[in-house]
Amino acid sequence: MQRRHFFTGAALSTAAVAVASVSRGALAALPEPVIMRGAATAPPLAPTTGRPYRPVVTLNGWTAPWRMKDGVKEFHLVAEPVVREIAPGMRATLWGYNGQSPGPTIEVVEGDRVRVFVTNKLPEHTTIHWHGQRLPNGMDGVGGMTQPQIPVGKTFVYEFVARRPGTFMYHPHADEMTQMAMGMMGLWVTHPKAPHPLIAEVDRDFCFLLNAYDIEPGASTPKVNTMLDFNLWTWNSRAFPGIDSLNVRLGDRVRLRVGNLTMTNHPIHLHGHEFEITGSDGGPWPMAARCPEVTVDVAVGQMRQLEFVADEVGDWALHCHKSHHTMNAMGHTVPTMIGVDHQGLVRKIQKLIPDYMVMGERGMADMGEMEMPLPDNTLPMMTGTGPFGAQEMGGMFTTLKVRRDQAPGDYRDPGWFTHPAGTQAFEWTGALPAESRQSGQAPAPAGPPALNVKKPDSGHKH
Amino acid sequence: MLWQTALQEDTQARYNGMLVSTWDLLNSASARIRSVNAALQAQRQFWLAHSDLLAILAGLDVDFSADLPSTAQDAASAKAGH
Repeated sequence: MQRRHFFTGAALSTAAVAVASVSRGALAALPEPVIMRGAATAPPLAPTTGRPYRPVVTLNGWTAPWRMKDGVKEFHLVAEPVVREIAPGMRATLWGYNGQSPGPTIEVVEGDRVRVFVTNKLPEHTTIHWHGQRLPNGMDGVGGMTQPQIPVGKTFVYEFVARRPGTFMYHPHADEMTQMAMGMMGLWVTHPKAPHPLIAEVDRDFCFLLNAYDIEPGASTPKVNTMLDFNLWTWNSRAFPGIDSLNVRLGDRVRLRVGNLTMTNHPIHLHGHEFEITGSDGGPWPMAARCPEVTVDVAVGQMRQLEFVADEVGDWALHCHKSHHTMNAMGHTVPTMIGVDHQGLVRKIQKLIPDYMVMGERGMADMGEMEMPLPDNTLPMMTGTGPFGAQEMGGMFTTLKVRRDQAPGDYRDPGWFTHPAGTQAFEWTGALPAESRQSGQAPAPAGPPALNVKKPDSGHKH
Repeated sequence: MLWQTALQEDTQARYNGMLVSTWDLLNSASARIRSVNAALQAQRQFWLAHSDLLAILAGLDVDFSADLPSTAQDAASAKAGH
C-alpha cells in the first residue's frame, strides 16, 4: 500500500476551502488514490478520525484509507484494469479498483457524510451503484438513468450520508454485465454510531464477496459472455488454495459478511459450529427471524451476516456446499470414466500418446495427488495439501482456524491444528466381521444389470 | 521431434487437467498423424519435382509418368497393406 501518497493528500487538504456539497473546490483538491499491489489480507484499518468502531477484515483484501475533510469522509476510487492473483500460479487480467479486484472495502459510520471520487481509467465509461444504500436518487449510480456515465479519463463525485448501518456492496451500473464479469465490485460496511440492540459487538468481523469467472485454461481474461458455466468460483477474486484462512481465538464472537455478485446462489456452509443470520443488506434482522443454521443460501445480489461464537478448537472447513464450486477449472463435458475398463487399451494408447495416463476410471481423486503439466496459468481442478494429504479442493473453500492461544487482534495463520490424543479418526486394525446384508440388498452382480424391459407386443399396432 | 507437435502437447496438458477427455486426446493424435503425413507427402512431391528439374537442366530425357500423385500412390499402398 502506498500510504505515503495518502498522507501527502491529507496534508494538502488542510489548506483547501470548506465545501458543504459537491463543488469545484472539492474537485480541485481530491485525495490521492491509494493503490494496493498484492492479494494478501490486510490487517484491520483502525479509524484515526471520526467516530470509533471495530474495523472489519476483508479476506484477501483491504479497507480504503480516507481523509477527513471538514467533517466529510473522502475516498478516491480509481476504476482501472488490474492483474489479480487468483491463487499462486494463476493471474487474471481483470478490471477493478485501486489496483485489485475486488476494490477496497469502504468503512464508514452511520450518519457519516461520505464523498467518493471515482476516476475512470477503463477503456470505456462506467458508474458506481451503491447497492442497498439509502441515498438521493441522483447518487444511485445507474448510468443513463440517474446520471450520465463517467467518461474515460474523467472523475465524478458521489456524496451522501450513510444513513443505515449494515453490510453493502458497490459495483458498476454501466455496461454492468461486462464490468462485473471483469471483476468490478467492492464491499461497503456502515458501522452503527451507537450500541444497537440488533447489532452485536463482535471480536472478529470478516467480509468477502462471492464472484465467478470463466477463464479459458491457458488464458487470463474472463469470457464476459458466459452466463452460468463458469470455471473459477472465487471469494474476493481468490480461489482455493489462494483464499486466506479465518484465524480466530477460542470464544471469539465472529461475524462473516458475505455478498453474492455471481450468477447463481451459494449455500455457504461452516463446519463444527452453528451460526445465526443476524442481518442482510436490508438491515439487522429481528431476533424472532434468527434461528440456528450450519448452511445459509446466499442468493444472487444478496448479502448475509453470519454470526457465531467460535467455541470449538480446530481447523473447520468453510465453503460453498455446491461441490462443483469447490473445484477449480474443470472440463464440464468430460465423460464419466468410472467403471470403464481400460485394461489392454492403455498400452495401445501409449504407443500413440506416450504420456497418456488413465484418469477417472476409479474416481477422480488421482487428480488431487498427481502433479502433471497443465496448461499455463491454470489452477488444478482439485488441489491443496493438508497435514494428512491431498485436500482435493478448489474454488470457494477456506478454513476457520479456532485456537486457544490466538492472541486478540492477531490475524496470522497459526498453522495446522494439533489434534489431542484420542480425538481423531483412525484406522481399525482388528478383525472385520463377515458382511451380512439384508435380503433384497444383495451386492450388485458383476455383469451388466438385468433390465426387465417389456418389449411392445408386435401384434399391438396403432 | 516430428511427431510431438505443439497442439498435441497442449491437448495433453488439458487432458492432465481433466479439461478434455481421452477421445479428445485421440482425435488430437489422429489430427497430428494426418498433418505429419501430409507434410511428408508434400516434401516427397517437392523432391520428385526437384529431381525432375535437375534432370531437365542436365538435358536428360525425363519420364514424368513415374511421378504419380501421392494420393494415387497412397491408395495403392493402402490396398497392398491391408
